[in-house]
Amino acid sequence: MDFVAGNVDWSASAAQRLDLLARTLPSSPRLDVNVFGSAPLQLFVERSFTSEDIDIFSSEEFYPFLLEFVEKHQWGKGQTDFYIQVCDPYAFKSTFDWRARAIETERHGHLFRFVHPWDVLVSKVQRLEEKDLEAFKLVIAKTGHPTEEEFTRHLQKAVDLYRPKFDEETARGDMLLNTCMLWQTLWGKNIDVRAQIIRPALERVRHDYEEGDSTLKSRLANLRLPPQQ
Amino acid sequence: MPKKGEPRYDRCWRKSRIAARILLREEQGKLTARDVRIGHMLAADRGVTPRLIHQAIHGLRGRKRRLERERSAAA
Repeated sequence: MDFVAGNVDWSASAAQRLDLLARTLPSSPRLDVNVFGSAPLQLFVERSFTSEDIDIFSSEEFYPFLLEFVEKHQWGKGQTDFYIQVCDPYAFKSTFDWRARAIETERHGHLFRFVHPWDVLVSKVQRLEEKDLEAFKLVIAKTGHPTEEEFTRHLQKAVDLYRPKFDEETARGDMLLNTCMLWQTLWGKNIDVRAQIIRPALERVRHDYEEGDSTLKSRLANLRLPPQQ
Repeated sequence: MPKKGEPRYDRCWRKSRIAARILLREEQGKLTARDVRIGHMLAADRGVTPRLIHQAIHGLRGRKRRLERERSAAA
């Protein structure tokens, strides 16, 4: 299954709502609308995978505009049954290079950027409720991917999500614990998150950031003139 | 190039390159009294870090190899 713009199922309910949004938006400013959460799974993997809302975010610059626009048209949370949740650009956390994989398509003069299903799955590990686990099962059942090895490598690209949380973030789940739970559920085995995800990712970073030989400065400090020949 | 008299903001890098040259001369056994004196000063300079010296050594060695390649290609 190819996750390309031509494969967007525009007849799916989330797509129809997004199309209506695109048609209704004024032509200027031209918006970049990022679509994440369950909607990309519905559009690319299984149209029957429904959700209560469509999660979107725009650039920081147009966040207030989009928020106001959606509310004005009664498409926001509490205003309609299948609502559009305009999120803060900070809300979506996944792999560092998710934008490179995202599927972009133009709709009525606006750019829609659908987060790649694997990057959606990474973002779901942070919460990993029953519904999130179902998303994993759906993607794997329908596409045969990601395999255990593929998802291990993919999670390495999201290594920062494994860092300890701020006290103010305790509502978010524990990535380490959730990853272990995910492995048990999907592949019936344990995973050593530190050995298989965190350390390999940090090793790649270290490779490109050399501290330099710490003896260089002591060599400078202890320079002596060579003995006269 | 910045104009004479204007402040420069790449002093750490430039000093680290000098440190690297001195260390390379040490390896070749060609140190001078001036190298030793300046080397000691740079060793005490907080802006001259092992990382920058390390980069400079690689840069200087790379330059030497490039010049050698160009010379042999021209010959």
